[in-house]
Amino acid sequence: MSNAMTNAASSQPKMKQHMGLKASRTIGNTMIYVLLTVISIIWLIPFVFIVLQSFRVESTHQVGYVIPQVWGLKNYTELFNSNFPRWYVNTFISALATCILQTIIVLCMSYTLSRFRFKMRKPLMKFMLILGLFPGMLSMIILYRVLKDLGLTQANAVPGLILVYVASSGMGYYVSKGFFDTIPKSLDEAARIDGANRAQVLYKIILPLSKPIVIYTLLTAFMGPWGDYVFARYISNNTAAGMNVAVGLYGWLSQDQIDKKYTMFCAGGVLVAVPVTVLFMCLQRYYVEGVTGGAVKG
Amino acid sequence: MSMTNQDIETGARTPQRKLPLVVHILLAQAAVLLCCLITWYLCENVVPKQYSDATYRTELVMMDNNYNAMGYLKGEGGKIAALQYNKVSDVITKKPFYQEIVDEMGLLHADELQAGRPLGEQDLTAGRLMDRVKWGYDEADTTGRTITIDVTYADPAEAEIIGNRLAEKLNGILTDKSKLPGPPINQPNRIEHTGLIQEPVRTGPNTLVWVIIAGLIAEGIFLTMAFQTGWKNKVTCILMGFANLSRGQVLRGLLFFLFEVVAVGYMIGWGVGWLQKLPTLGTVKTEHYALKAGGQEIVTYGDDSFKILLYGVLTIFFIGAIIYTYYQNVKQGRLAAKIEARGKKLKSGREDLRSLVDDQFHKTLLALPVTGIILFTVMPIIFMVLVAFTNYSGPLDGKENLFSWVGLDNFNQLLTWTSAGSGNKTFMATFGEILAWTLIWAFFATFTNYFLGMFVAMAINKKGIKLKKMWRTILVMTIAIPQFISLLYVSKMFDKNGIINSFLINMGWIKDPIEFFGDVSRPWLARVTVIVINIWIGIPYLMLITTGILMNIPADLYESARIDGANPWQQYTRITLPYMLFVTGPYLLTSFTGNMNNFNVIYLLTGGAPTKLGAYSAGGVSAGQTDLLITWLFNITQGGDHLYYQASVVGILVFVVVALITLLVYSRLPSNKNEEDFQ
Repeated sequence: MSNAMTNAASSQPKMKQHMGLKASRTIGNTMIYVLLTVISIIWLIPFVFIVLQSFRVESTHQVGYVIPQVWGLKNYTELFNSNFPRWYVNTFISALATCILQTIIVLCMSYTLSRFRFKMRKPLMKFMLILGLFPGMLSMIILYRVLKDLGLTQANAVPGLILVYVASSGMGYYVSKGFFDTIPKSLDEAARIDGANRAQVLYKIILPLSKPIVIYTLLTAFMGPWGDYVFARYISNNTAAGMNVAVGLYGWLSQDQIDKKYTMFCAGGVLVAVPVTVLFMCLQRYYVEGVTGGAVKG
Repeated sequence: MSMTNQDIETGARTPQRKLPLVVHILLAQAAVLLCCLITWYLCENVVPKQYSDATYRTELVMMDNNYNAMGYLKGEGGKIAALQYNKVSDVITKKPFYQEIVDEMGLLHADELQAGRPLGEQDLTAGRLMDRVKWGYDEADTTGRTITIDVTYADPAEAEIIGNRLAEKLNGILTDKSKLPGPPINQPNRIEHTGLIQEPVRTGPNTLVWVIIAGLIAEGIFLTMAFQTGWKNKVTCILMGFANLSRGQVLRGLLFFLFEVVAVGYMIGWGVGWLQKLPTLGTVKTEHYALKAGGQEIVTYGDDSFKILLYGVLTIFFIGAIIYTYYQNVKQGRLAAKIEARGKKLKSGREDLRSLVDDQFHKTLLALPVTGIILFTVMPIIFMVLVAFTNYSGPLDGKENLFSWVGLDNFNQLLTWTSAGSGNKTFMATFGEILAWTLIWAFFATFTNYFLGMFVAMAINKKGIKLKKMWRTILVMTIAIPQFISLLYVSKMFDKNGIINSFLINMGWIKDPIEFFGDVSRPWLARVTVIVINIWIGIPYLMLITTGILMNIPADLYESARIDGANPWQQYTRITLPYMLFVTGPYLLTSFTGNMNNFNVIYLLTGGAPTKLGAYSAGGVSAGQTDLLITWLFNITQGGDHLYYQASVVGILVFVVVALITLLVYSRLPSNKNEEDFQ
């Protein structure tokens, strides 16, 4: 570790001068290249494997080798004869709706907490901090019952799920509040002097400047439901028609199904992962900005 | 609802009173008294009175001593002995006679339905009826002649009919030769109607309680009224919004008035009912009864404790909202009066609306998010905390499981809760073990990721390393892939017949597959594996986070350190690490608590396996060696007997632990800086 640290500081320690400046740096860099290559391989291996296994047609259970003996698309075509399309649509609808509604709510919340100074502001923030310490899973017991009475569970899980995802999303305001905090207040004040009201300041001045955080929020709000397991499991409550991909595919790996569905799980996994990965890679820049900013501002 | 006018301050002339305040207060007391009297009158004379059930006694008198029930039941041998009837009470509690009587009750029930009589208190399900009938027989009386049948029922006439029918049925059973062989009947038995042995008693809500409640509400209203000046503001104490409405502030006035209508309507229609049931959480059980013919099941739903608790709590919240809005209503009235007295113009509805996008814009923006949080986070949390003080368990869908308050019992029993099975630990012991592992897990999961992530970031950042973007992209890409896919797949790679084991065997390194997650005797193998896999999950995030911060460290710091002769390790420990810890302190804290509740990694990787032997089993749900508190809690709610009250206790304890850690650490963080610094 210390060797890498040596280099990370991008400097040449005086005590190593006898080795020769260039040689030392080359050795260090070579080691880092080796390390990074190994890391990259380790990180990519499961995903390469999962893709390879999804094309294996000679057997459907787990096997001890990676490269299929017979290649084919059977696993993918089989998916269409299962509940998978339904799950996929469920997931897509809930992710899309959540991503739009949640973004609106998060932006409302974070913008207000960043820009306005009102009596309840600090208590509200502290209150939400405390609420966040509660294991949210517990509330699912009651939410399930309430949603069930409203008819929004099991086969109708999607609207219920969206409601659950969106309703409390205001509590996740930290990252975007951090962003709004960095936009100078003088901009607002100048616009106010020019006669704009508060709403106009938001729409005409702040929002156009907030593209990165809007995209970050949209992206994370989309990815959340796309891979959510717990809430979807509660709300769908063992009804196949209301499941999302996570709950559905999880079931395929259960003891009694894994031997028949293992390769289909891989194929399904690929279909789930590919779109979100492509989306993510396109918007990577915004994600990085958001994550970095969020961590610094806590 | 608080529409404050910022521009109004003191100094305005308030309207003068014509009578001294004391007179107003005395008048208010008179009004309160009147309200109490009206309430008393209504309770006593107008509201339909409720009565307790009457008990009606029917007697079945055996006319022939040789042929009385005891003779039969204690008769020698034959079917009697086989059926093991020793007492008359056996006849009515053991099959098949019990079934016959139950069927009889079912027929009564069916008659009741056919007669179109309203169900409800009058409904007759067999099970509920069985509770309402008391059978009497003096076992000591060897000549025992009389069986008493006491039917407790709301309607005395109905009780008589039921008693008669049951007596006939019983008589039929006792004299049925095919079932109970014995000497012939010389003289038929007789059914006697004794009549009401307990008269119906007046019950229902106590008049006194209602008078006190009405008095308190009236006191609140009229006392407030006494302190208001001007008739408009006095009326507004009763007709909310009148002060605004009468002064032309139509929007505000109407909103207040509308709220009052809704509030009063809700409280009378539903609220009071929920509140009344809240102390017991319901007493009427749901009954199922399958009718003899056709087998059609009849279900009468009783009280739903879940709903009572939920709506009871909601109603209490709503009362809080009513008091707050009422206060605002009075306040707005005074404000309007002041503005009027100054001769200024009051805000119109249009101006009010406009202010919602201007100086009151924050209220518009917050309305939706805060409502969502209150309904979907605050309410459930309050509810679940309350569940810890009940004995709520049973299937999630159950509308039928009645539960009740148990006070602090659940907490008192923390140390003594033990599940069946010898050698099993108590709840608290198992909780302690899981908590210990949760903390160990959170510590390693947080700090291995943190330092290794930082290390990778520094390696990529190093001067002279090419393809920086590619290395980063490879790692970042793994963030995009949903965790349930990667974690489930990796968990299967570590399976007994998974790829890792196959590979190790093929290489000849091991002979038998290693059970990473299934080996009960090697819990630490599973635990270490989980932590290692978590590194795989976590490094990309940490690499991302630390990269940006590392770049922000001023380069001249390193420059001067180098000039002073600091070696790279010293540079790292003296400059990089302190800076990083300072900046990422809050992140580390949230990351630690987040890992304590890291459901996904544990649940998807191991599902808690391997099993923890001898652990406390919460209604059939045992704990695993890699279970965190959160996954344990999830399993308790999902499986076995669904012991929600225990899950709720676990949840509260988790909250306490997490809150303690946060409190202790947060205030000590150096980076606890003022948020205004950013702007």
